[in-house]
Amino acid sequence: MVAKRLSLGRLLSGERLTLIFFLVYFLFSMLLVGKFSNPVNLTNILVQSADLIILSCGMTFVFMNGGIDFSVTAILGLESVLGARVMTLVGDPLLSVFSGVAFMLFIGLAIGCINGLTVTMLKMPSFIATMATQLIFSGLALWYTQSATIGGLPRPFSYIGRGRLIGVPMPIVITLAVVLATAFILHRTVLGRYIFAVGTNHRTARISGIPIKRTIFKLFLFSGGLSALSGVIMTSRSGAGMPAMGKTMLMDIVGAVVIGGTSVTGGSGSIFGTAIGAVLIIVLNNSLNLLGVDWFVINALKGAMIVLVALLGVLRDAGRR
Amino acid sequence: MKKLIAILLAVAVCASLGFGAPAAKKSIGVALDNLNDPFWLGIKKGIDTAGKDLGVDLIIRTSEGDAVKQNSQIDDMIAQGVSAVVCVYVDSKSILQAVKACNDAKIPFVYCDRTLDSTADAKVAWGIATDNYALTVQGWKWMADYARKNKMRLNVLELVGSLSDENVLKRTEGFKDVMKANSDIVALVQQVPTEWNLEKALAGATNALQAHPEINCVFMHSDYLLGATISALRQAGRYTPIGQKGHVIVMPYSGNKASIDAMKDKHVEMTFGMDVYKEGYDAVKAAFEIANGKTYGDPVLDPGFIISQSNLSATAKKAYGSF
Repeated sequence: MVAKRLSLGRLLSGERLTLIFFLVYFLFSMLLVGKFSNPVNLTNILVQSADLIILSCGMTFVFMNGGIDFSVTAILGLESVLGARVMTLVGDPLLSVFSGVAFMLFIGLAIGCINGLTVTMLKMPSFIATMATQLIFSGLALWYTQSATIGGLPRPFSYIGRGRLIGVPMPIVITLAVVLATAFILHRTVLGRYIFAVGTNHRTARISGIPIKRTIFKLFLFSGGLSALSGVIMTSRSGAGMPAMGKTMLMDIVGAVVIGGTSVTGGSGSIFGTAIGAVLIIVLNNSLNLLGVDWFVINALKGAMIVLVALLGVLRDAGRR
Repeated sequence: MKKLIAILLAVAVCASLGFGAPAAKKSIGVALDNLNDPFWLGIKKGIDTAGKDLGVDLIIRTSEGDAVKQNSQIDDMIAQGVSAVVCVYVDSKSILQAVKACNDAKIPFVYCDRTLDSTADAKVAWGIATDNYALTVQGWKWMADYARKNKMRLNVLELVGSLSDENVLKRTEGFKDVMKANSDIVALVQQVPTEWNLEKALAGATNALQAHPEINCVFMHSDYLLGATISALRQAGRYTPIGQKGHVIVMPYSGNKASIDAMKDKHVEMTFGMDVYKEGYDAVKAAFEIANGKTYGDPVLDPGFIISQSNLSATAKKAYGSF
């Protein structure tokens, strides 16, 4: 019985289950969905996964503490329009790209900082704190632009979203770097161990001398910074600053993290699992689109998959106990 | 466990190398803004009928108003090897990236419903849309004549759509120009930005009617917002039939079923009619023919039509709300 439970626990362990599910689904799509295996389509899948993977990596950090960051879509919109405005104001193309991107990253980090301070200092639940910043900053983006988009971005800026480095699309290169760096931080550093400890049990972490507030603050900083980086890629790919950028992405971000095996109650999770979860969502969208399935059916299927994986997570946790 | 994953991985890689897609017959990619309103369904009806008539496969995608998603969908269509792309774009600036991608793949890009100018590196093959400026001017001239005839001064609440929508800018422009020419009887009291969001429209209209009881005319940029407007007027006790005390003139745009019904109920004086079925049909037909080598001239701007109480039975048939 114990052996059975252990093997069930191993099978259901977050990222393994996601990887198996992904490979099976990918295989079936290859065999059954016409044009899915077209190299251009596969490249598109990877490029389109880039934003979602980076955003989901940031969200994974917040999930590790049993929290959530609703402000990511507001960060995308605000940084997109303000960064675009900076770029259109600075004359020199390269300088404008540098200052625009720096400003976009600063906005993400600043909002992450506000979220972190609100959660740690005011002891506000993350879903309330980030919902408030979401409303404030998405409102600010719309007010600033009157919901209009900002075009005329410098040509070199498009390299980030549409350029290639040794033949590999830039979004894929950046995403790979982000996944490796965040996985290293989470799984191979002292900060990573602190994050797991704080997410598992605050009291035990405190007794162990772990700086809880500082650790939680950093989670929101990661989320804000990575949202900003994703926004840079998205703005570059779109060629315009848009106040409503990424407004439909929140469900996919949460879905990628949950499907990737990160516990919604905190304390367990993996960056690789999240990355696979994000690619799985894009593959699901892509393959069902190719099959001509309506978008509302696709949304329903994604919802069902999230419920299924969350349910398996509960089973896994029960197996561990 | 590791063995299982390794086997699955190996099979997936082999499949990716060995199973190419079979050659398919020609198809046209259709990238829509949304399908959450009968207006879009009216366009889609024209698109579907054209696809059937021409015997061409249509790959239809909707982006739910997300410009980034729309560009990704068009990238997917190019990867699928469509012979042309028809697009009701979400954002006039970001769509240029998709047009460039179509140009690079030598696939003609045809716009539908929203006009788009070619740029130096993004060439549009053709397009069809309602001339929103001309239609707005036509409708507002009709309304100015109506007000003069009835010795009214119009204090207008304008419910504005998303400002990234080219049509919205043209509707605002058309309204402003007629207002300028008729400043003795038409005045703008308040503009409410709705971003095509019903909750925002309802809240904005409710607040405006409360703050400015002098409002006696609501001009909305789409009759998608009509339900929210009627709710706000009902809350203010001002949704009354034409001619009754406290009646507020409501000017819906595009001609859906709700606005036609409200006209039949004698609550609405007029609506701006758009032949969206024809737009969808002609866009697909043009995309198909251009992909087959036919040359098309300048894009088409349809002037639309005004549906009023006096021509209701004759013109309402053309509105998509009557399909």
